Amino acid sequence: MSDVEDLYRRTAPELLGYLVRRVRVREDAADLLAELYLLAWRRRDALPAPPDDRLWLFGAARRLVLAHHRDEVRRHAAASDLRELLAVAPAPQDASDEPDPRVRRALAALPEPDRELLTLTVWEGLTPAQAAAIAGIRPGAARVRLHRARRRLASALGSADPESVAAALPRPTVNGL
Amino acid sequence: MHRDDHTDGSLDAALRAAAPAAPEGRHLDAALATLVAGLRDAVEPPAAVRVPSGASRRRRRVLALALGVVAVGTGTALAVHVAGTHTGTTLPPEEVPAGGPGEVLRMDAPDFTTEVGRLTGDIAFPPGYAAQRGLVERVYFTPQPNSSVTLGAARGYVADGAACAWTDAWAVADAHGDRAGMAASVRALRALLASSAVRDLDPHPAPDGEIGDDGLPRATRFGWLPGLVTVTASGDRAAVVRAVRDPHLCLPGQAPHIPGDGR
Repeated sequence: MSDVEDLYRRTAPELLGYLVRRVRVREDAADLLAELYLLAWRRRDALPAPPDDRLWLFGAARRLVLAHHRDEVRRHAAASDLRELLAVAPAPQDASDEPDPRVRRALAALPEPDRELLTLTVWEGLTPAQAAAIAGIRPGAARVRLHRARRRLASALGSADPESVAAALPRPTVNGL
Repeated sequence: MHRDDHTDGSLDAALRAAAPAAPEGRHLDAALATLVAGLRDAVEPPAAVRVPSGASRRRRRVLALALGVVAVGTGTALAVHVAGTHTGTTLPPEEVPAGGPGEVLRMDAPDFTTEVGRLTGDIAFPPGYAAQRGLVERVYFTPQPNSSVTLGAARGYVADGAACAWTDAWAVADAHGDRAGMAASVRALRALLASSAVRDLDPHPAPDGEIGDDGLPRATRFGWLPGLVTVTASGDRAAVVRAVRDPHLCLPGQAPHIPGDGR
């Protein structure tokens, strides 16, 4: 097995989760995942050693997502099975599983770097220092931005008590694969 | 527990609950295995070339399609061997929103680099920004086997780069108090906004001109460009920097005089 295949087996599920959570059309995550590992394969001689290779993938995935929001979809035939899977699953169990739209609206209103830092730490489980490396900013600046993002989010949710917001929301059906 | 910690924890729980769901299970494992097999074969194809049997011909076709294809469908443009850049075909109407308008161009054609340069040569960059145009070409137009791009998409990539370059030229002129240079950059950005390179892809650029799958308004393809014209015309350097930096508009190195241009 090549190093890139080993990297793929270690990281593909969590990188797919990262992509699914950031694209408008879920199926596009399949093509971005293919693009990401093609990139890794072509750069296999220059990839950082573990565990930094995982962070490199997150950084590359972030750039792909940013480019994807501006550009057209680049389809990969190898991703067709995964694309179909993403198109049909998973649907919410019932209406009560739908997350509060206020949270997503508030999140969408944050400046992009702040939103990315927050979701990298909360959704992907990375440390603030790792998120800072992926976003290309200094750890100290990341901590300031994270603090500011949380303040803005709490304010945008219209409550000085975010616990009430949390209590009103269902448990996530998926976080990590 | 410290109050702030408690609050952050509750907020994080709310955020986690709002995370879009990702797939899991054995079907995912199988799809991921198929994907990596296709990528492996695409990147590291067998060295020996021989006349394929029926089965391997089918396999070769799958592998040929595994590499990048701009567009929803594969179309006839992809099923050919080396030929010229021009195919004389366009995407079906339903695929244009994803793949772009205009003729489908073969990226593995021997004359692709020359032709795409000619077809995008009318999109102006500021004097001294040949390297930034070259960066666009290296990133988006490196010849790839079995890949294609529409003329509209190709011109869009170059228009992105031109917008970044003119904004960078504006920042340089501003730093030197060169008001004529700043005005020239604003005129160029306005002309770009009105150009076919932009309008063929995005007839009505607007920062909230589309509705995403999540029901929220989204920018159109060039929805960021009217705002860039506005802030450069206003002369507000901080606003220009924010307009480029915050949404990461430019490839790293495309706007080298704007702090945080993506690097």
